[in-house]
Amino acid sequence: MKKFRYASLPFAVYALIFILAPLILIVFYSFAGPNGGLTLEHYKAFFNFEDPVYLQVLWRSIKVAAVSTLICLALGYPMAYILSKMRPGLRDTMVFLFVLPMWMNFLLRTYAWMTLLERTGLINTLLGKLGLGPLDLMYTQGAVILGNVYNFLPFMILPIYNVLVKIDSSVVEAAQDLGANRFVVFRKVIFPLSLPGVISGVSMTFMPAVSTFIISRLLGGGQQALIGDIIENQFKVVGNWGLGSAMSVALMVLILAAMNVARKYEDENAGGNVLL
Amino acid sequence: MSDCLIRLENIRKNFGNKEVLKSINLNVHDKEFVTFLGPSGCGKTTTLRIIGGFESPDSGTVYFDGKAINDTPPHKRPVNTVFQRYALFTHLNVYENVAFGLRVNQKTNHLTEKEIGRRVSEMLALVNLEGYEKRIPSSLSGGEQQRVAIARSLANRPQVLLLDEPLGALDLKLRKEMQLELKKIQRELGITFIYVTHDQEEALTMSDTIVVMNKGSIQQEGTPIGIYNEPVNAFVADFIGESNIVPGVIHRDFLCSFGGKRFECTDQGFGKDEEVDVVIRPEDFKIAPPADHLICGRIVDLVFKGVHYEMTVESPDGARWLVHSTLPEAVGADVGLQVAPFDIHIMKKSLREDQNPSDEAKEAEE
Repeated sequence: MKKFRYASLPFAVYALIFILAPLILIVFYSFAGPNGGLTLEHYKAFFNFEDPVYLQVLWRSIKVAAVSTLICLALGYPMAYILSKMRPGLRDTMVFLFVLPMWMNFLLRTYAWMTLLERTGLINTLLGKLGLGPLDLMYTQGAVILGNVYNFLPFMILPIYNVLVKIDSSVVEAAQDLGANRFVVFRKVIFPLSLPGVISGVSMTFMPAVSTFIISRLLGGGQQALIGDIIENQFKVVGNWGLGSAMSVALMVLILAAMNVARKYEDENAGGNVLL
Repeated sequence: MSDCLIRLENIRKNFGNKEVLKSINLNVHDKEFVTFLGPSGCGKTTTLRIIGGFESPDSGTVYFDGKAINDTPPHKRPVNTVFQRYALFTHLNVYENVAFGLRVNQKTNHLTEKEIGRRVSEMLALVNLEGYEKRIPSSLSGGEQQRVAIARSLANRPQVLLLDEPLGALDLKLRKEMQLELKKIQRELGITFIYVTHDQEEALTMSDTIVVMNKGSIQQEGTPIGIYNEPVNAFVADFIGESNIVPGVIHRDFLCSFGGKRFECTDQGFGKDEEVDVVIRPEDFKIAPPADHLICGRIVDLVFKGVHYEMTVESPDGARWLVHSTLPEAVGADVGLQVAPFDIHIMKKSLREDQNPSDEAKEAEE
C-alpha cells in the first residue's frame, strides 16, 4: 500500500488549506480579544444565562432538528425496510429514485417548496378550491421542519437500507426456526442488527438539520431563526466575527460530542462500521 | 426405530422452470440419523428446507407424527435447524444466542430466568463450550461458532434436528472430530437427526440411513453398508466411493462377462444375455500374475494415497481399471486382476442418464 501514499497528497494539501486552516482560524477568532490578546468574552456573550437570547435560539435549533430527525426516522425506517425486502432489480430502481432528488441543487429544491407553500401557491390554491381558505403555511416552524425532512430524508433511508439489505436471510430464518414470529423476529433480531444504520442515519440527519440556515431563512422567514442564521448574521451583518466564531465552535463541540456518544453506543453493540 | 416420525408424500417443487424435486417419498423414523447425500443441485437442501418450513412444496404433503404440517409456519414446527453458515445472532453473546429460543417461547414453556440459565449451561456443556457465555460470536473460531449454533438449536429440545451441511466450512481434522461428536450428541439425546451433506465419507461415518439423491429424485435409500456394497445404479456406485463402471453382459443367473472375460457372479433375475453395467470397487481387485481367465493389463500409473496405493491398469483393448492395494506394483509391470463373485455388482442400464454426477457440480443448490 505504501506506493499509493503519494496519491493522497493532493487531498492532504486541499484539506490543509480549506479545512484545517479555516478551522484553526475560527477557533482563533473565537478567543481573540479586541486588542490582540486572548479573551473568553465571546463565549460569555453566547452562554449568557441572564439574557439567554442565543441559547434560546440554540435550544430551538436543537428542538427543530430533533423533531425533523424523528420524523425522518419514522418515515425512513419503514421505507428502508420495504426497500430491502424488494426483489433486487426493482430495489435498485427504487433506491435510484430516492437518491435522484439529491442530484438537484439544494437551494432549488427548497425554493420549489416555497412556491408550493405560498399563500398563492399550489397547495393553498387547491385548498381554496375545496373552500378551506388560504392557510399560513410559509414562515412557520412546521415549514422549516418540512424542509428539513424533505432535504435530509435520503440521508436517513440510505444508511438504514444499507444495513438491512446486508442482514443474512438465514439469521432471520434461524430466529423463526427457534420459535419467533414475525414481530419478535423484527424486535429481537432485525431491529438490533440495524441499529448501526439507525445511528448513522440519525447523525447524518441531525447534524445538517441543527446547523442549517438556508432552510430556516427561506421557509421560516425571519421569525424562525436558527443557530445557523444567527452565526451567519454575526459574520455578514453584525460583523462580530468573534461571537460568530465562538458560536460555531460551541456548535461543533456539541455535534462532535453527540457523534461520539452515538459511536460509542455502536461499538458496544459490535455493529458494522457505517458511521464515518 | 419402527415408528415413522416424518413422512414426505409426493413432494414436488419447482423454482421457476427448474424442477428441483420430482415426487419425493420418504419416511424418517424416530431417533434415526438420516443423511441426504448428493451433489450440488440434487434437491437435498430444498427437501430439508421443506421439512423446516422455509419452503413450501408445490404439491405433496409433509406429515409430522401423522399430522400434515404443510401450513405450519417454521416457528411453530417441533424441529430446529443448524444452518450452513451458522447464522448466529451477532448482536448477542453466546449465552443469549443459546437462550434465544427459550426466551421467545417463554409464554409457553414458563421457564424462569434461573431455569433458562441452567438449560443454557447444560447445552454449552454438551458442546464443550463451558465458560464461553460472555463471548460474542465474532470472537469465536468457525468450529466454536458451529458448536454455539448446535447448542442454540438443541436448547428448545426439538424432536428432530435438521442440519444443513453444518461442517462444510471446517477443515478436515475438525470435521472428523465434529462428525463423531454430533453422532455422540444424537445418541445421548435420543432424537432424530436429518443431515444434509455432499460428502459421502461423512454420510457413511454418521448415518443410520443414507438417502442418495440426484436431480431431484431419490436414487437409493438404505444403511451405509447396504448402499456401499449394493448400489442400485451407476450413479450411486460412482457417488459413494470410487468405482470401476464398465459395460457388460449377464448371460444367465450367476454368469456374466465384461472386459472380454467370463465371470461367476451372485446376481440373478436379469434377462438372458441382457446388457448391463458392471460395478467393481477398486479395493475389490486383487493383483495376481497374468492368467487367461483374468483381466490382464499393464500398470500405467501408481499413486501413493496414504493407507493404500492407487494403480491404473490398462488392458490391451484400451480399457482402464482403477485398483487399490496396500502392495504397490511397478509402473510397466504386466498383471492380472482377480475379483470375487460377490464383489461383482450388476445393475440395469436404464438409469444411464444419471451416470455422471460431475455434470451437475455447477448447478447451484440455493
